[in-house]
Amino acid sequence: MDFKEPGDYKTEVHFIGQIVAGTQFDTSAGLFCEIHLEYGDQWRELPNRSEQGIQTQTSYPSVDELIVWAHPIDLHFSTNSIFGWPKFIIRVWRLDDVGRIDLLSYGVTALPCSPGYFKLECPTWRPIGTWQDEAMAFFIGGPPRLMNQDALTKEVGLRQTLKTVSSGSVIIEIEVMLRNFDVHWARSQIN
Amino acid sequence: MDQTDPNRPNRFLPKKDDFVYGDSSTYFQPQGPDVTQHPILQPEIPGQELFDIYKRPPSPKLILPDDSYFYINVSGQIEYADFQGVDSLFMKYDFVAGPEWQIIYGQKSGGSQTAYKARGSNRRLVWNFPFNLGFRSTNLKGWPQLIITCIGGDFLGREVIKGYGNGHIPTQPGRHERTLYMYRPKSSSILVNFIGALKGKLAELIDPPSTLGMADGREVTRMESGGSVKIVFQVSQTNMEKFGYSVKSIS
Repeated sequence: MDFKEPGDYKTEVHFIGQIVAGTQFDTSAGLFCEIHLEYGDQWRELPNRSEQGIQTQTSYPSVDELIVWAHPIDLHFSTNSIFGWPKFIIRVWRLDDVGRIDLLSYGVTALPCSPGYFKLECPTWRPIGTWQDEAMAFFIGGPPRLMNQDALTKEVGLRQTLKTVSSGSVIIEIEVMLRNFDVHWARSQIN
Repeated sequence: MDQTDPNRPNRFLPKKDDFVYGDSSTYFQPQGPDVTQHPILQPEIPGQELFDIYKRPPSPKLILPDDSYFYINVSGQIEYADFQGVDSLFMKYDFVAGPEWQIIYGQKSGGSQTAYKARGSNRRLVWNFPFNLGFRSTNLKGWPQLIITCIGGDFLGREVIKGYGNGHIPTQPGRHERTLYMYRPKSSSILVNFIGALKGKLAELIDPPSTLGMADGREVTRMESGGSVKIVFQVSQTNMEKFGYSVKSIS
């Protein structure tokens, strides 16, 4: 059978860090960030697979246009393969003064695969609709969103038919700790 | 010899009298009875016995020989804050870690002096507040975090929250400089904010270490951003390589 216990995996990876902030979103409304994980079949998240993703607080920009989320991340994976290294799928949502929640932008970032401290800045984007959609988004709210979420990572060929517009950036600080990598695999993969 | 005896002599490391490999009684001072469990202090709620089926036994305490842990020593200082529109601040810090982590040395929480801005070009609020802690654990899950609460005076000099900040201790040994960006809770409506400003009680978190550190229920809060705090960490580690973790060499 394919079922494995946590002890059947050889190596472990820790991702410890923070969803720090968002910049250049050009809005005065509150924003929050939602992060889902995507990783290969040979990877197992410990202690349990998180189904509903990570959702930060709703944060309002400061005078220097920084939207601080400061959401701690503490992820633990065990794996038998270096293929399918985890990725973050980022969605930024907007909560406006009337209480509506709109999906503002998308982003994808791969996590680093060597131990140490990394500061990732992920620029995000959103699709462009027809001119009616853009006018609706400008005056009323509710910018266009993706009909098929597979265009983010699973079927990137779908992106050939997309037109997108740039949005703000999400800053993520992450520290990677690898366990048993130099025992089981070549050390040259790490350093 | 009983192999499960935690005080058995160590085959791998020489017996030393220093702190790290000392007797386990070095770390834990003998504690008296827990006064909070006294029946007088326990609240009596009618019908409370109906919920006894949800009681769980206390989780077993991990007893291991000392060389079965890895050790982390964190020292450093909370250097200064950059806040706009704030003249004076004091700061409380809390270190929180997961359930498997033990603090074997140092103060896990404390408070600083009240710092004022100088009149010159230096617009920083300098605390220069040192801390020094020792941790040990068997698992990296629940890596320790630093939670900072900044408290300053409002227009009548009453103490209100000016910002919270949180961040992890660096995982690699060496000297690290980190900036924590601060945020403060936003009231649920303009009226509540106005009344709170009059009474000197703005919105604040009940239990900042667990709310910010464990991220429990953070998705329902609304925060306003502003300010930053600069921190210098000096981290040293032992036994990490024995656990198989690849640590960068100090060079």
